[in-house]
Amino acid sequence: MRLAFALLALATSLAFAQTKEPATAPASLPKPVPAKDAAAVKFEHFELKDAKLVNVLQVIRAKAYNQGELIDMVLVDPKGELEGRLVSISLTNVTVGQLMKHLSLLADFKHTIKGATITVEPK
Amino acid sequence: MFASLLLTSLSLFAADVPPAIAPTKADVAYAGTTEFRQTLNVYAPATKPAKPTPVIFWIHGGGWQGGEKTSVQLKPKFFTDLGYVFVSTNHRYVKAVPMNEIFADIAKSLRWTHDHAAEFGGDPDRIVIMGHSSGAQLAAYLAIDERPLKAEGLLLAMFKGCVPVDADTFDIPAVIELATANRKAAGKPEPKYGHREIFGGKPELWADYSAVSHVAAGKGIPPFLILYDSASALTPDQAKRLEGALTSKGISAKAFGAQNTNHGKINADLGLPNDPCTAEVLTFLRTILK
Repeated sequence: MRLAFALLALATSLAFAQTKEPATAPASLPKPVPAKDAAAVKFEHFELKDAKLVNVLQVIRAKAYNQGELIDMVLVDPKGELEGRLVSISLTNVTVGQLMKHLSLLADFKHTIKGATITVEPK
Repeated sequence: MFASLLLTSLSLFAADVPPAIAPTKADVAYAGTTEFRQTLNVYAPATKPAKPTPVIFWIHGGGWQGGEKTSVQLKPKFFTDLGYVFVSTNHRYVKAVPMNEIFADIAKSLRWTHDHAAEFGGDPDRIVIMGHSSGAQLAAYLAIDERPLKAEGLLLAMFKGCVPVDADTFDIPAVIELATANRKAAGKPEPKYGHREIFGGKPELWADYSAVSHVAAGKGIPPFLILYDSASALTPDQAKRLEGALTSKGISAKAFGAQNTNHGKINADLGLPNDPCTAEVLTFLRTILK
């Protein structure tokens, strides 16, 4: 199974509407650029408790996106044996490379980081 | 004995914390209405400065649906002691009006401030816009997107600096994705009235109301000092996002993460001696107001 973690929030359309909102002005949101080296993206703080691995990977991707760097997170998990593994982690001043090493020990998986792409798969 | 120790410790604490001061002019209607949410307070230095002095323009936090211009803690005393004029504004709340009308309220408040600053010794063309939390989002937006000011006949050039304090909404689509991922990881439900709804319910509005969407070189965006709580789940990444968007266009910006604080404390401590964020603000002001 390959999860691309598309921008779920952007695709979500809610019925909420306010009558006085302006006709939408064209905004050229500067898109994050693919990370040159996903392993080098740094987080000041990363903390999750009893979270499913699939959700932890989504948070890593979203945190990098919030810093303007895109990570392509690929979970190769044909039997669905990894995604539900529970992880608790609390790290400060950590790179994504260090974080993935911690996670791979905690949730017992193997991973590779090439440029902007992180691939996670069972051992 | 105990009472004596207690009083000693209280007086030591009091020596570090300046007392609150009363506004020089309170509840000024800035939009020509009787709406209390469209009023501001002005605090002038005790002695009128010999020459026009910078104006600190403050926007309170409260999630765009709460907060009050009197919630300024140490800031009026701190900034007027430095010789600056301090203005604190209210705005209408998001459940009463859409976000773009809140931007318009802040622009109208700035129009009044620009027109009347000199009466208090202030320089209308040396305004530093600051705010906390939702007020920080508003401050950053008004200092980057020229449209609300333009509607009031003002230019971004009136700002000499911008100091947003611990905000998570400079790039709204990004923070919505992160908040959603965090909630999923924590097994929490989506809020009934969260950022999606506050910012108009449409992805195109989320983008339009994001300060990072409007960053461009050559339109007078002032230097930024972006303060944030290092331990927050959302604000450090958003601070770096804004810093990166600004510096990539050649605009001076520094994101500073405070340790051992929280979302309320980082605001309440502004003006305290030995507070790291206060030291950053002082250095920033000295640099931009030379």
